[in-house]
Amino acid sequence: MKQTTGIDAALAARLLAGEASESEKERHRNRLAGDADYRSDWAQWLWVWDAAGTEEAERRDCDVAWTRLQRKTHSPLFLLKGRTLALSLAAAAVLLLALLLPLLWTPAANQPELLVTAGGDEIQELVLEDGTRVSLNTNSRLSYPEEFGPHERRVFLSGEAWFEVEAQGGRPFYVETDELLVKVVGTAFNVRSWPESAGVSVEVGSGRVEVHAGLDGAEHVLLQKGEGLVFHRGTQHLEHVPLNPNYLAWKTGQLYFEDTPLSEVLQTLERTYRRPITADHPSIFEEKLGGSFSHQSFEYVVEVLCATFQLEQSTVNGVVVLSRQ
Amino acid sequence: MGNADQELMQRLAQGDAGAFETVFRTHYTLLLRYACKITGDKAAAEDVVQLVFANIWEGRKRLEVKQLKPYLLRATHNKSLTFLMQHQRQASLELLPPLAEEEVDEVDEQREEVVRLLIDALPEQRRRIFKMSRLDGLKYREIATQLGLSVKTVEAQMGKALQFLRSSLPQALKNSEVSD
Repeated sequence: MKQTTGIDAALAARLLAGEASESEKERHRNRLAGDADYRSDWAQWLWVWDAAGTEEAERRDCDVAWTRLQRKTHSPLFLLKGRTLALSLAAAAVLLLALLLPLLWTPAANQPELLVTAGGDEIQELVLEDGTRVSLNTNSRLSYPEEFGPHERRVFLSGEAWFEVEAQGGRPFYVETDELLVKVVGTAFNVRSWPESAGVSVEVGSGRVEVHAGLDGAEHVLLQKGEGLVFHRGTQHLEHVPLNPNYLAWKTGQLYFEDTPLSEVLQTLERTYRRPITADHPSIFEEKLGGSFSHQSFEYVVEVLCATFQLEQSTVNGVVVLSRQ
Repeated sequence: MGNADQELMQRLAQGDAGAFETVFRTHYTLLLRYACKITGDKAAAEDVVQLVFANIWEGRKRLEVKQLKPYLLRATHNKSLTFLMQHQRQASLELLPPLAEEEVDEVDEQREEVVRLLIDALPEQRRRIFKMSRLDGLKYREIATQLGLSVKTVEAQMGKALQFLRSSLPQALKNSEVSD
């Protein structure tokens, strides 16, 4: 029995339910970092909490999947094929249409299957059937048909990818994520839709794209070269943001900083390496960094930061924390 | 059962989105687990099940299905195999006979059932508080206001509920395995 080091049940519940005070959370983090017994006790609480919420998690999975499916089947943006033709015919010849309907539906039935590409440990370079080039980040997933339809090209993304789309008049290219629909005419842009982060972002390298949010695609924003936007999952709103100069570092392996405050450097490291990192004192965030890294590991970059600003690092609860020496 | 399915399919054929949602929500979790078992990959399974339902919607006017569940399981099975074939994760597909329906959700359903029983075994007020926090995601303050209690009481009840689950769950799970 680990009653002496164990976490009191009421405190565990507060921590898990997000009700703990800042000082409780702080103490919790410190003990997690320094006390192995405490860690294994915490793992037990976490396990019970997860088990008790499975049903709820499944309900939420189901909601997300239903939204995604509705996007596919109900949104006017997704009903282009065959449908417009059917409508214009309807006024003129109802009878003829009735005869034609089975024919109109047949192409839908023969629709190509989606190919699913799951990004592995390495960045994948794909060329789609229409000539569009895609760099798919690690741990990302792209679903696309073997052959695109005659009226549109559509892919589904989870994670992060860079697209260089071949322009094709009258055959727009769509990138779907759980929340957004990006419509492209011919351009190069980056989409980040990581399940664990608070926002989805789109960044445009050249040309322009139209980003739709909401089920019916009602809210939409036009993005030009050099612009970016974030869709906040919490508030469900789109916001213009300046382009992070290192937004393609995950693909190019190049990081470049010029008099950049550490607050921004750390954010860039987080998004590039997808490893949480922070500092424990405001003055650290204000330090300025200049210099570049080429194909360096997260660990290496952090070591350089520590050496440059005389910091030391510790890992608390999976988060790298920088502190003054 | 079969009749209810046929009625749903009729409404679906007429383009009734409500019927489609019912079909989706009733079977989604089961099909997802099934596809997961075959593909061994949750993300791929999600895509597979999306495809199954998208095809149902697109083909709703031509579908002649008397019983939905076996139909959906078979469609999920086929699409999962197609996925494996495209990714060559399975050299010979003959090695993969269709799973029996009962096999699909056995383990997960069992765990869920055990957890549900344990939560139901909590004293009434404690159970309500725990569900409002864990399942509905309400804040302690909101729970306290709704039930006319102090936040301190909610805190204490949450602690007791969690303590009970932690001390009973491992044994309860073990028992449920043995009893099968």
